[in-house]
Order: sequence, then structure tokens, then C-alpha cells
Amino acid sequence: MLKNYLIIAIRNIKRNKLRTLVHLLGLSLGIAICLVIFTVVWHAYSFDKFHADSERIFRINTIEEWEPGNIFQTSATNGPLGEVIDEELSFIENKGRLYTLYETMVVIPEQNKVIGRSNRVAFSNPGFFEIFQRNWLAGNPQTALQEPNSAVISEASLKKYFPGLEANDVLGKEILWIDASDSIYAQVKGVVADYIENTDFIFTDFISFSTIAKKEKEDWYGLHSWTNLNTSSQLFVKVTENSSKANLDEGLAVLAKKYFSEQDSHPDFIGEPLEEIHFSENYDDTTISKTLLNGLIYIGIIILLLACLNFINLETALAINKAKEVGIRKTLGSNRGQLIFQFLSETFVLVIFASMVSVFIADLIKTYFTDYLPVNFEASFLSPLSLVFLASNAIVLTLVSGLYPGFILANYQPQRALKGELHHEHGFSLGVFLRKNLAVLQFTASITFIIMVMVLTSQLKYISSQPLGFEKEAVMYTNLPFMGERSQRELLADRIRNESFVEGVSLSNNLVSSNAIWTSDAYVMMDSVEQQLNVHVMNVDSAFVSVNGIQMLAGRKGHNVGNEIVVNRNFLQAMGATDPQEVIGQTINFRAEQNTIVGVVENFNARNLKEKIMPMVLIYQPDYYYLLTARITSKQNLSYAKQRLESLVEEVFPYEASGFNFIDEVLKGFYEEDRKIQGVLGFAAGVAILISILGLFGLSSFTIAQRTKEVSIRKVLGAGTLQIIALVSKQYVWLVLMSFALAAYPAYYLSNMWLQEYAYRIDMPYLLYPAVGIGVLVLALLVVGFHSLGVAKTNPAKVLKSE
Amino acid sequence: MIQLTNIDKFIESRFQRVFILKGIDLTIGQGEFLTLMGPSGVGKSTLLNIIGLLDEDYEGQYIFEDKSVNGMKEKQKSSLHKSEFGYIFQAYHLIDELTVYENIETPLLYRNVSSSERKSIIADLLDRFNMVAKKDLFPEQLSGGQQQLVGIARAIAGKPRVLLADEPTGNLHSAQAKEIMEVFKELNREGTTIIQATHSRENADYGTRLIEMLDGKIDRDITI
Repeated sequence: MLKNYLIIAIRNIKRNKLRTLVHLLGLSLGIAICLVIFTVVWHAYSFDKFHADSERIFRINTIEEWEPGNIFQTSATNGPLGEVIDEELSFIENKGRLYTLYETMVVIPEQNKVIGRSNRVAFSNPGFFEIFQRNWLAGNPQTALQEPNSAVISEASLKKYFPGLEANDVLGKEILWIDASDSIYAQVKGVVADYIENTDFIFTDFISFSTIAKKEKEDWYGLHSWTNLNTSSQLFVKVTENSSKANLDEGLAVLAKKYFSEQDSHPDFIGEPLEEIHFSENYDDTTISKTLLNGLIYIGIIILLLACLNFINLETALAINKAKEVGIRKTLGSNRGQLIFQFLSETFVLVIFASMVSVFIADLIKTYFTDYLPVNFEASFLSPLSLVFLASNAIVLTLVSGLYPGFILANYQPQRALKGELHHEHGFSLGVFLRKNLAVLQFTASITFIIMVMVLTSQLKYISSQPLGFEKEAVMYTNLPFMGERSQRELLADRIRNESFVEGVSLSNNLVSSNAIWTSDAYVMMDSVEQQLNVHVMNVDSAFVSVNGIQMLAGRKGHNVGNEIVVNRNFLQAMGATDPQEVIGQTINFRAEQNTIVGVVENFNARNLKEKIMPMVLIYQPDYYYLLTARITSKQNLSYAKQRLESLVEEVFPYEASGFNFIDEVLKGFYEEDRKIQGVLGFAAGVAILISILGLFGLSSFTIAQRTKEVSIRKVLGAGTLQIIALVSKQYVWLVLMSFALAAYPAYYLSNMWLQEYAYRIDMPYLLYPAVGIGVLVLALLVVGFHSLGVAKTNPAKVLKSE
Repeated sequence: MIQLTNIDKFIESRFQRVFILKGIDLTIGQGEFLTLMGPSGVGKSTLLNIIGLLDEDYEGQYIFEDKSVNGMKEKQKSSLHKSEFGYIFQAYHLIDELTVYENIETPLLYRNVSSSERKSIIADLLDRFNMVAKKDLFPEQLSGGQQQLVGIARAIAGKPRVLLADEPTGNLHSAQAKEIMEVFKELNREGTTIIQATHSRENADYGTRLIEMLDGKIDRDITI
């Protein structure tokens, strides 16, 4: 029986080429997109699932209320909480303390070998390894990280630091880690295997936590104070078997109350389940937001649904062609169930073919969207996981798209089906109603996508054309060691300044525009009352203003003196001043010191354009400078300049690898996420409209062919080709218009929501809406016109003779 | 074998009922070769469909082998339909996508006949109708007469006791028609009850009983 069905299915597929093409293209595109999205989502959810009792592991988060209503949650915890948490809360089975380091220089003193900088170095206590268990290749897990100045390295580090040595050979060897100004010598006391599974715990070098929990390290690591918060300081706990997150949060609330008793508002602590880490804050900035993932899932489902709708639509329309076969089968003794099953098996064959094609398309999509995918993402679309997905997807898809047309077919009455009496004579017909509305739904989705992409594109275009208040062309910067030797920095700055192609060099603690922000409070006398101002602080030298091409409004640049400050125009406004000249010489209280305003600069966008420009204060604290910005003359070949500058850096800092980058690129990076959304949405819009048009192509080819007789009669009665085309196309105009009406609001709502994120944004481009509508209409009419022209051109004599 | 009592079939329109069949009383015994004759639209096909359980939208009593069809459940009707009736159409109605062999096989599939048995049944039928060489052809590659032979082979493959034929020779020229009728006659001789609807007097002569219909009623009942 099944064989018989499959034979028919395959012969049908071969016979009706247009139908097969429409179905295969639509379904395989839909499946491919879902396959890619599935693997991305699966990958995102696959992190750190392998730890024993992972549901009992939590990372402690701190919740602070900076100002009333401005609540802020971070994975940072203060040092003392990590000290006392297991003593205070009885249900803590283990605590793992972690202090992550940034750009640590690794040196092997014994061989005088400089390895380079690493972001995979952290301090941790023995408990960390009890919570996150490892396979130990050498050393004693219990004692390895007990003593100060002990270290555990992973196999990857072993191979890198001591090539050729076995795990047991390196026990007792000394490694030097230089964290900015702190040099830590530690002995290797253990070697652990690297995790093979996906994990956010990227660290390869672990130094005993006791190394830094010392009085003399207090200032640098800041672990002594309940109020000091630093994302480097992380705390993990594993609770006992019968405890839950609720118990943990309750206990933490009591703790917070106890230790912050003297303050009325204090930070709160909360347990963050281990599985959330990949979606909130991890250690190599590869988090992915659940909103984005959900957005992707919605897009995938919508696209796949569109493809299903195509299928349902076309198959219900084509059902009439199959009516005869159904009639025959019924008289031969087939029941409804068997007929539905037969149709489903035919659908299944098509879906399977589409699934095979989709693997190739998925691969193409993956290549095209490489930048969008996680760095370590290596999905094979033929892995067992993908095949399971494809198989289960095929079953669901078969049911979703095959059941309705199958029911329609199976419900035909045999004696009427055989005579071809299938049209419902009068009144409401669900089939026709559905067919029209399914197409409307498809076009609604397509138009919504297209409008959203167009709005996004205009906004991003607007952003990149906005004046920022500084010059971004031909300005390069490089990272120098944080807290490095000041004299070395200045030596390098001098050397670079001496290059003929360099117009200016500035040392600073922040770039002219970046994602970093330092805010603080300044106290200003206004009408003889001291007012508090929340200001954006930039720590820069005097050359900063000219190197970045920022306009001076009044006064002068700083003189590289500690208590001179420069402010921006918004600062004046906040002070209530209008004339830049009048504030020159005024003093403001900032960081408990009196500072004199020596200059006023025009506003510039030191953050991305999603944010407004804050009142700003430029201060001078050269100890913290680690960025060097250089302006190149416009005539200079930039790639040569970059090379030359990099070689100069290498002379002064032989162990630093970071090259020169353009400010331009930093600016582009601000909108990376949005550009990705634009790319994904653009692709989705393209596929949606492609599938819809494909569906329309198939559907109209069929419905128009059905009207051949009517058209022929009309022609005989004197209708012209244009009139015929208008007649046949009229219903499709309604279809697109209705879709447009339905799409307008969701498109407005979603794109407006996105625009609201920007402080600098375009007005909603309403004109774009009808333009998209008309574009889609033209496209639809072209497709329909193609068929209707064919019908309009047929010779009526031939058609009518055969009737 | 078949007993119809007071069968009415009508279409309800806004102002009146239009009767297609009115007050049909008919008893058909096993082994009869019965011909329904009459002009177009007289209700021959409708009556055949009612007898063959393809049309349930009628009023009156239908008893098949002492069992009332009216009271049967869907499942019983369907199994009765499968086991007792074979259908032959004027337009052959073969499934275009299936070969001759597969067309004949289809009713056997619905009757859950085992694969080896199917093979032997189909081989016998192909042999009987001299179509062995054509078993892998598709319907469109056959002449009308050949298609109708396949139709007959398909109808009798399930060994039904009643064969219903609606204008079986309507689309055929006379030589082919004669061949088909000879086949019917032989099947009848072997014991199959045959009920055919036709316009043709010549075809009626092959039968054992002739029912002439007029305006939805039985006009004359002649035994030949």
C-alpha cells in the first residue's frame, strides 16, 4: 500500500514540474533557515550543561539602585561577601571565588621567555574546582590552590608555556603573571585537562585566591570593602541538595540586611542560575541575548509557516485535479483515513526532498552569515543532531501542511468528484476563503519585514551621516599597557610626534568616542547654592582636543595640570550659563578638589548615538593613560602610516601585540548589533517575499488557467488584451492592498520600538510605507500579469471548440 | 439479493422538490444480468450509485442479503462496499499516474490481499484479457477499449458478487463495445450479478432482464 502511495507521489512530483518547483524551493528555504536557527539556538543553550549538579550552581549577582528607579544588576560581587557567605548560610555546600584578570602578561622566568598577553588568567580558590570539576593530569586537587602563590594550569597552557614537557614535569615550575602594576610569581601545583564541551569558563591559568586576599594587595584588588564593586570579582556557590534558588535569595537578603545595617538603601544579592551565564555576562564577551534568540526563532517559524501556507494554498487549489483519482479510489473501497494518509505520504516525500536540498542551502546561509555566528560555532548540518531535527521537523511539517488539503480531498463525494462537480454552488466556501486569506497573511508578513528593514536602513544611514562634533578620518589609536611606565608612554608619544606625517599625538584614558563611560558627580555653585551635577568624565591630556578636531568655544586647552578642567557646552547649560566666556575661571568642586574651568568645547558624541550628550568634564590624570591617539596628515598613505606607527610601538613595547586601529571602526562597532539585525531582517524579508511571490506564481498559474474558458468567451464578445489582464489581476490588487493594510501597524509598532532606542533618530518615514506597498503590488502584478497575458493571448476558438 | 422499497431521491430547491427517483421498488436476485435503460437524466446512474452504496442521500428501504443497509454503520457499509461491489465507468476512470498493473492492483491493496496472492490474481486477469504485454503502460497509452478492459479487470479483481456498470460502452465504437459485452456475458455465466445502465438496445440484449425507466420511475420490467 505504502509503495503504491509513494509511486504515485513520485510520479506526481515528476509530472507537475511547476508545483514541485514551488514546493521544493519554498519548503527547502524555510527548512534551511530553521535548521540554521536551530543550530545557533542549540549552540547557545549548550554551554556549561555538563557540570555535575549544574542546577545547584549559582553565580551571585549584585543589584544596586544608583538613583531612584535606576536599578542595575551585575555579576560583580564584593570581596567580603565571598569571605563570609559559607559561614553565614548553612545550605552553601561549596563556594567558588574567581577574580578575572585582563590582558595579563605571562612570562616564564626560568627560560626568560615572554609568552604574551592573555585574557584567560584568573585567581580562584580550591572550592571553584570542587564546583566545576576537572580531570586532573597532575597535582592534588585538594591542596593545589591552598597556599598563596600557587597555580594550576590547563593542558592548553602546558603545551604553550612548556612545549614538550609532561604534566608531572612542570609541577613546581615558576610562572610570572604581570597584571598591570602587580607582578605575581606562582608555582605550578597542578595541571588540569581542558573542557571539551562548550563552556564559558575559558580560563587556562588559575592562581590561588589566597595570593590576593592579603592586606598589602587590598588597594589594588579592592577585596576588603563591602561597597567596592568590580566585575572581576565573581562568586559562585553550590547549594545543598534540598535547597533552591528561593532559599539562596532569601539567605542573601538576610545577609545584605545584616552587613549594610547602617544604610537605608543598600545593594541586594541574588543567585543567578548557571545556565543563565551565557545570556547575561560571560568571560569573553560572547554572550547572546535571549531576546535576539527569540527573535530569530520567531523569524524562523514565520518563514517556515509562510512556506507551509504556500503548500496548503497551492495544494487546496490543485485538489480539483486530484478529485478524479479520489473518486476512483473511493469507489474501489478506500476510506477517508487511507486517502488522508495517502496525501500525507505524498507531502512527506516532498518534505523529505526539500529537507535534503535545505542542507545545502543551510550551508550557503552559514557561509554568508559567518560574521553573525558565534566564533567557535562549527555546526555540521549533517550531524546526528541536525538529522534528528530535520526528521522531526519533516514530520511536523508534513502534518501542518498536509492535513488540511488531505481533509479537503478525502471529503469529496465520489460520484460528484467523478463528474467534476466540485464547486460549492452558493454561499460560503471555507476553501476559497482560506486560500485568499493565506495569501494575504503571506504578503502581510513580507510587507512587514520589508518596511522594518527599510526603516532600519534609513536610520543607520542617518546615524552614519550625523556630525559627531569631532573628526573621525585619519585618526588612529593603540592600546598601551595599563598602569605601565609613564616615562615609556611619553617617550613613545614623543617619537611618534616626531614623524613627519603625524599631526598630533594624545595620551588619554579614553577614546574620543567609545562604549566605555566614567560618570561622576560635580558640585557647582549656582545662585550661591551648591548644585550636584552628574557628569561624564574624560581623562585626557591637552592635545586631545586638537588631535580629535574638537571645536573650542572659549578659553584654552588645558596645560596638563591637575586641577584645570575643560567642560562642554551641555555643561554650561546645566550650570545655567549661556556665554562660554563667563564660566572661564569659575571653580567647581569635583572629586573633593577645587578645579578651575579653563576652556569650553563644543558638544561631541563621546558615546553612540543611542545616547544623549551628557555634561562633560575633561580632566588630567596621566597615571591612568593607556591609549595613544595619533592624527595623520591627510596626504599620507594610511596603511604605510599604520605600519610605521606599529613598528615604533614595537621598539618601545616589544611584548605588546595590539596594533593601530582607526577611530572609524570603533564608531562602526557601536551599531554592529543593529547592523546584524538589519542583515538578518533583510535576509528574512527577501526570503519572505520570495516565498510569497513563488506561492502567488503557482497559485495564479492555476486559478488563471481555470478561467481560460471565461476569458475566451469574453474575448469572443470583444474584450481587449488589456481589459482581460485587468479583469484577471483585479483580485490580486485587493489581496496586496489588504495585506498592506494589515502590515502597516505591526511594521510601525516594531520599527518605532527600535527607533526609540536612539537619542538621535529619524522621524518615522511614513512615505516609505506606501512605497513598499506599491513595490510589492507591482511585483505581484508582474507575476500575475505573466500568467494572465498567456491566457489573454490564447486563441478563443481553440479553447471553446474543445469544451 | 438486493431489495429496494419505495426509494425516493430528490433535490430540494426553494419552491419545490425536484424528484430524480420516485417510488422505486426493485428486487434483484443473485446471478441476474440486469439492464437499466432510458433516456439521459432519467435516473439510471443515480439508481446505480444508490445500489453501489456511493450515494446515501435518499429515502426508502434498501436491503442487501437480508440486511438493512439504511441501519448500517459507516464501517459496515464500507466493508460491504469493498467485498460485494465492483464498478465500471463510461469514462473508464483509471488512475492516470498508475500503470495497468498498478491500476488493477489498487482495489486488492484496499482489501489487504497478500502480495503473492495479488500477483497471481493480476497475472490471471492480464492473461484473460490478453493484456500481459501492456501491463507496464499508462492508461493514456491505451485505446479506449483497452482502457475499459483494464477497468473491468480492476472491477472484478476483488471478486465482487455484484458488478455495476454505468454506460460501459458509451465511449467505445461498436466492435469494442461488442467485445466488452461478451466479457460481461461470460462473467455473468460464471455467477456474477451484473447491473448495467445503458442507452443501447443491443447491450440490453446480452442481459437476462430489462428495466425501462421514465421520469425517475420504473416504466417496464421485462425478462428476456
